[in-house]
Amino acid sequence: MAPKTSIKRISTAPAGGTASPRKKTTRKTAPPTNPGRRSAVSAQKRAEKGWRGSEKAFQNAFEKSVIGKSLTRPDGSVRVNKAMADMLGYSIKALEGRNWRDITHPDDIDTTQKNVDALLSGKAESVRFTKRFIHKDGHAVWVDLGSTLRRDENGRPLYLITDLIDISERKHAEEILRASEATFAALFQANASALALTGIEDGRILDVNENWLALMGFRREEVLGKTAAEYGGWKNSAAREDMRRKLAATGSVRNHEAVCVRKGGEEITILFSAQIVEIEGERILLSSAVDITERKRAEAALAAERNILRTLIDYLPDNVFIKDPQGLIILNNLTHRRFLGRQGLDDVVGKSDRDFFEPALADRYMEDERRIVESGRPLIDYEEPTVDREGRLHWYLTTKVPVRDSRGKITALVGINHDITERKQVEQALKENEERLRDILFSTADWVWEVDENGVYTYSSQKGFDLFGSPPESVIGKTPFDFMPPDEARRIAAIFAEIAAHKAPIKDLENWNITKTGEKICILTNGVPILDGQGNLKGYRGVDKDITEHKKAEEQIRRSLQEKEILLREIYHRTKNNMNVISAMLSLRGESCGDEATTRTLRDIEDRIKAMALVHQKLYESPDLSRIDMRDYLIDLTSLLMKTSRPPDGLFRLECEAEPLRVPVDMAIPLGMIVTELFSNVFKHALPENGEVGVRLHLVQSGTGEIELTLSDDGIGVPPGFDFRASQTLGLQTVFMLVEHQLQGRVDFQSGRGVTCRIRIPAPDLPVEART
Amino acid sequence: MMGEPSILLVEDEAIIALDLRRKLQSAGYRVIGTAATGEDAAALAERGHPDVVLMDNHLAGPIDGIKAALRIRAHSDVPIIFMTGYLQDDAFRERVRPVRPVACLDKPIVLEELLKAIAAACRL
Repeated sequence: MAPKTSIKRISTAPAGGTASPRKKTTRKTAPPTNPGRRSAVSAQKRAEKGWRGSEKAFQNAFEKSVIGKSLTRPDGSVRVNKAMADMLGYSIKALEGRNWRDITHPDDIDTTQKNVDALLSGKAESVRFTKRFIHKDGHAVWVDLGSTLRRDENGRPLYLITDLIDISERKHAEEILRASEATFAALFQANASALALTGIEDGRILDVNENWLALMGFRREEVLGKTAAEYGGWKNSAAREDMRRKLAATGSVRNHEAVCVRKGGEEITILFSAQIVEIEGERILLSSAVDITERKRAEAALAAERNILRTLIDYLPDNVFIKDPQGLIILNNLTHRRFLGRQGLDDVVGKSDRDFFEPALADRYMEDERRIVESGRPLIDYEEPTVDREGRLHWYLTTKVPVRDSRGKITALVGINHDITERKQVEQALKENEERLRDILFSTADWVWEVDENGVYTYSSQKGFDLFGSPPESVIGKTPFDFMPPDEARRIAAIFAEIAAHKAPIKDLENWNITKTGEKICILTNGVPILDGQGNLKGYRGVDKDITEHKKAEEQIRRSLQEKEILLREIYHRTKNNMNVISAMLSLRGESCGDEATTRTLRDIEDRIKAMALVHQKLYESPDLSRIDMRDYLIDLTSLLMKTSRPPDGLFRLECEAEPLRVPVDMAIPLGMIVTELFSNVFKHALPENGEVGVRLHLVQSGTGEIELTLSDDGIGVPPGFDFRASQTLGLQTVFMLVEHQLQGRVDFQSGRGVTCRIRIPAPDLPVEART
Repeated sequence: MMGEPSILLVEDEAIIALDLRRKLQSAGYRVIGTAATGEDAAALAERGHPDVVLMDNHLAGPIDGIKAALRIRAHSDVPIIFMTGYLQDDAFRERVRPVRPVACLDKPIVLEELLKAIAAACRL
């Protein structure tokens, strides 16, 4: 706590330090120094001289004095003059002979008695003290009194001579002052600000309050009697000097911002105020400091934030603008200025939309804003068209919000335009696409659908509803299996599960369904899996095609083909049978005719008919009913010929080497007959004397597809110069005719050891035109 | 076996049957009958007790050679030789198995093979 004794009296000093007329500083024991008092003492001395010299003169001086006087006898009774009687509100007569105790304030009787005793005992020649008398109306009257004792010649006390001055007013002022001092001390200590009292001349700290100590971090004894330079409170001594100069010039400083250093070195920013005050006649600097460090930090942070915000707003891709309620621009960002075709803020501030847009658009914008101001309601995220400087149409998503002051009055509008032109274009294109798709889906005969990962329909085109039920819930929410007969549902569910497990597409999956009318229809399903971003199967989408008619037609064709196949097989079979019957008839005739030559001729014919019958047998055994395997046929034919036509007296070794080769029937029959003719020739003409002939049949297809059939024997051959082509034998003529005329091939005979016949015919797969 | 072996010839084509019968007779066999239908074949087999049945698979009427052979087999173990153009046909081979034919000859029939098969059957 600040020592209270240091604070006595304070009065504010005017500029320049000239004090108002000073009130006296009085000590109870101090001798009176005022002129009145000096005159009272000299009057007393004169009275004493007068008393000794002239009792009359003393009495006159006593009674006429303007200063209160009293004579007090040793028994305590008093004589007073008029000034004294007036002071206490009595008449002289009323006080005459009364004891001093009767008119003394009870609290001051003892003090008075002590002083009286001191005089009577000779311990003091004179006393001076203040005391209270009781006024006639009861209030206390403070007096400053001085007494001396008058003795007789023998030194016995005669009376006390007392001068009295009314100091009640002064006492009252002192009371007020004391109260004021106490108030100041309390305020000084209890003040929320950090307060300090500093000597104005030397700058040394006289006192500080607790808040000052808390603010600066010092203990009281560390700073009392020290200057700021000594305890290091100011960061910048130049700033301190600056503040002192200002103080000297104006007598006070208000809210001067300064940086101080706390004990320990921490810097704080304070708001410094100071005023010169006068205390006990001394000019003292009363200063206060308010810590605004946090506020400064917050301000700095706010400023930085504002700067960031401003930069952010400036470089936002959206237009940001602030307008007053009349629609005049207060502020806008760079993007908006660029859009308006202006560079600086000065080019736009105070302007309205009419300065930048064609009238119809400007009116529309301003009308919107007028409504916001009127209604107080913002417009949020509404789409509006605009036209840029090049005259291109843009679409904006706009928000305009009213800004209100603390009283709720709308002072501005904040607007944001977000360019959604591209989105609008995409939306438009999407809409057109959707319409196109919808029209296609509506008009297509196929059923377009989507199912989720559980196979439940989530989408169906109109066709689905046409087939399975009009309300959407007849299809949506169901699965494809709900429309299938139970067996079919099980079959398709198994297939679908396999496909879905591999996330594979559905390809041409035929399935049977029952329509809403109970009709059984066949659907051809194609679909693709729908995968999410992680590749998880989310469902399928695809197209179903009603192929019932197609299936019926297909079935009809299949049946028809089957019938045709059966018929064809039957025809081949019957042809073969008929040929066998003819062969049997020839055999019967041959056996019964009795003529060797005729029998041989009939057997030759029988062989050729069997060769043809064998082709028909191979045909009805063949899977495609139009071609036969020549290898298979030749093995069977040569085997048959070896068994039926071989002369009984010869030994024939047959070696048959043939490639599997499927040829059409119109090639197989002539080839069969050629082989039969050639074998017949070998059987008839090739047999040597030892009766043993090797026969080799070779069938091969060349790279170009040409079929080459070679039959060679190691028999006796032909005579030198034998011309095969010129030969008149029916067999050879038949061979030439069949090869060259019918098959458009080439035939070549060679003789040496035996005969070799090589036949080349065009590829059977070539079109007929290419072969002819 | 007493005298010439007897043969039941089952063939729906009359000329072929005639040709075969004459050839078999020329080879010294006794043809006890020719049947064109399965029913006739079964009846003749039951009645005539042939030593060998020569059976064409393709017959007139609703009963084919295999069915006729099964009827015969129901009361007789007579050797049956099949003649068919379907020798390579799996379905035929499967169907003919219960008949337990002694031989299956491919058509057109080669007389030598037929006679060999009959001779073998007669030795059973």
